Amino acid sequence: MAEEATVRTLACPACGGTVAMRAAGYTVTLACEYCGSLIDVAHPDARLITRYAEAQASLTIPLGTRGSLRGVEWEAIGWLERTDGWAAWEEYLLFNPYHGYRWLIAQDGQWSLGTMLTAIPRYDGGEMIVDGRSYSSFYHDNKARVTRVVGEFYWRVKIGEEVRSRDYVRPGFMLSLEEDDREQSWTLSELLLAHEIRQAFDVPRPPRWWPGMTPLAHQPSPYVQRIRSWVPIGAITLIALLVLLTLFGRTMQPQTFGFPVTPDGASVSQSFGPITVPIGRQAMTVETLTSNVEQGWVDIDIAFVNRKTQESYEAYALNEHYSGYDSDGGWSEGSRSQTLKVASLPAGTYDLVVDAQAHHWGSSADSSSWNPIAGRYESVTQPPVDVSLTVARGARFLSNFWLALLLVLVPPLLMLVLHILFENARLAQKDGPDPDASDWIRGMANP
Amino acid sequence: MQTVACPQCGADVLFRSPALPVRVCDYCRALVVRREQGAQVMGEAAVLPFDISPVQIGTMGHCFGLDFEIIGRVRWSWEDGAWNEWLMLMADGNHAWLGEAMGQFMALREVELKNPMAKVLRRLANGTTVVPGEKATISGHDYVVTDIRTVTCLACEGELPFTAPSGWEALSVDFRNKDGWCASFQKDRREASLYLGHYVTLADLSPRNLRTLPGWTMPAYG
Amino acid sequence: MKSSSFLYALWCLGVIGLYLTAASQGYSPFADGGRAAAVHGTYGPTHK
Repeated sequence: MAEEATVRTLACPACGGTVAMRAAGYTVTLACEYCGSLIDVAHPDARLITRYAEAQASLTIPLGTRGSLRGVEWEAIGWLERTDGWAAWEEYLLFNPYHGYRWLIAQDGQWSLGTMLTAIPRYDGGEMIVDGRSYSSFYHDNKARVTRVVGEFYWRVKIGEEVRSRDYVRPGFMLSLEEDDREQSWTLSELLLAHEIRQAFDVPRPPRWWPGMTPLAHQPSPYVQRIRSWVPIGAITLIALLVLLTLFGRTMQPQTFGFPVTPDGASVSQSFGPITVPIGRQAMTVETLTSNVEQGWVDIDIAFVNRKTQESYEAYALNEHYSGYDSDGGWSEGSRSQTLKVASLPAGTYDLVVDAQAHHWGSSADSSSWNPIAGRYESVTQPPVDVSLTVARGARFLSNFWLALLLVLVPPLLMLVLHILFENARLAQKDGPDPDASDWIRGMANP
Repeated sequence: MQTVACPQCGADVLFRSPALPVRVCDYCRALVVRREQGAQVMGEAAVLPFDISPVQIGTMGHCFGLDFEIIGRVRWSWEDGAWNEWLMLMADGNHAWLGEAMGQFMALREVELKNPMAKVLRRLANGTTVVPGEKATISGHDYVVTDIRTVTCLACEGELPFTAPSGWEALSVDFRNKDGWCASFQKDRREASLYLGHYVTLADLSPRNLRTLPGWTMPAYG
Repeated sequence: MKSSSFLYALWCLGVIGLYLTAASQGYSPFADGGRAAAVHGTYGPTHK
């Protein structure tokens, strides 16, 4: 048998234009691409159904274009535009005689590939099940109406025809039911990745989501995958930081100096040393201990002064301790010891210059007594407070660790915020009861 | 295997299956019926319109656990379209049907329509109408009515189990269920019949000798 | 997806690098003292 061409042509009964029919034997209605008139090709003589005057649209994918999706070559043979009253979208009918039909649905610049199901989905616990995957209700009580049509279709499509529709989703997939009084059909569509649709057909790049945009009902959050793959990286970084925290910051070669300070007496200024920083830069840990301060405070100013350059690195500590009795019993507050960490001393030899002042709280009456020889009340000096300074090379800065941890957490937290914004915007379109925790959990499933 | 001379034009008419009494003469399109006394012409089959079906007479494959060969076809039309039903001659000598519509294939075998019958089927057999979405339990499985059509035989070719004259009218009701199974009920003026089977893809049949369609790459099946 | 993981890994490496740099220099933005760090104006407690 001689090979016949698979594409048939006919003259449009309305405008006379040459129209191609690519799915002869299946196609029932053909909408002329030049004048938009609908032609009935179900029967041997092509009959005009509705006459229109102008071409309906110039299409992103011209009819007759072929593209390869998932290893199968498809030809776009029909196009229609539908609306449900809120949003409008386009559907291309794809055909391959060895594989049947598929639908290519374009909405908001995103493309989905739809297959008509031959098995009816199962209903189980509020969800529809197809091939073991469950889909939860998103749109119900919806009506979809055809507004424009070009090309060939396997049913009597007409402008204004309406179907009742319901949609169920899981991330990346939408299960749609369409029915009218005569039949119902189920279609399962999968959202295509940008590179997949653009490798097949020359269409504009699907837009990336930004806060403020509304995602499609079945659009998966791009942040879930990201956060999942980032968690191990963050965890390893955390462990590394912990290791570094323990490795660095050992204190070495402690030296202790001590001196007394009399409360309310003259301030003490002393110099201790030498304290050597052998190489590079180092932090110094100084522990100030005033074990016998009571009902008062000791203010200790320290400075590491470089013997050669006379540059000074300063810090101060305030040690205090108070105690007493009240109705609840004894109380005490204050700290008799402080740990100072001085950062980044360059290599060299240093003197530790200390200025200390102490004060004791108490009325002058308590601390004065009669001096019979002088014949007057004289204030009694308090016993001196012992100040002990322990200086060690090196310091463990826990604050650095927390700061680093915060920095490591900032990008994943940012992704989490974006994910919440995305899912909020997506779930806001859902019909029926307000989205609850299970909707959020479903949104995190892998496509 | 039996070859007779076409009573209308004299060409060779080959009957491959002993069970199938009718064959469309490839040359003059006469419907030749084989009887004990000889071959008889019982009408003429209309010319099949051009279509782009990937199946052809001679396509072979595997279905219902058996190898098959396509040996005949009936094309049915209804108000809003048309489809093919291909006759599969199974390796065990029985036959089955491969319905082809909208790029979907239903493999069906006739079963006896006997009691106990699903209520829907009984109503259909009595001439009462049903609506899409109605449930029916056939042979222990639940089905849903998917469409009801009045269909007309458009044309046919090859070997057939019945004469299929153009213009032969029948009521056809299709069912499908959640496991991909399907059923078809057909009733004309004289009798009612029931077919049971399942949806298949072309790949499921491991087909060989599919029709070559220029401009399209034939997939490597079978 | 993969490139974002790479970028985050770079970011984390950067943080570790920063941490190491600070540790090797004995530096911390929260140190009690250092060059021109604590200019002590008052003596004694400055709060109750």
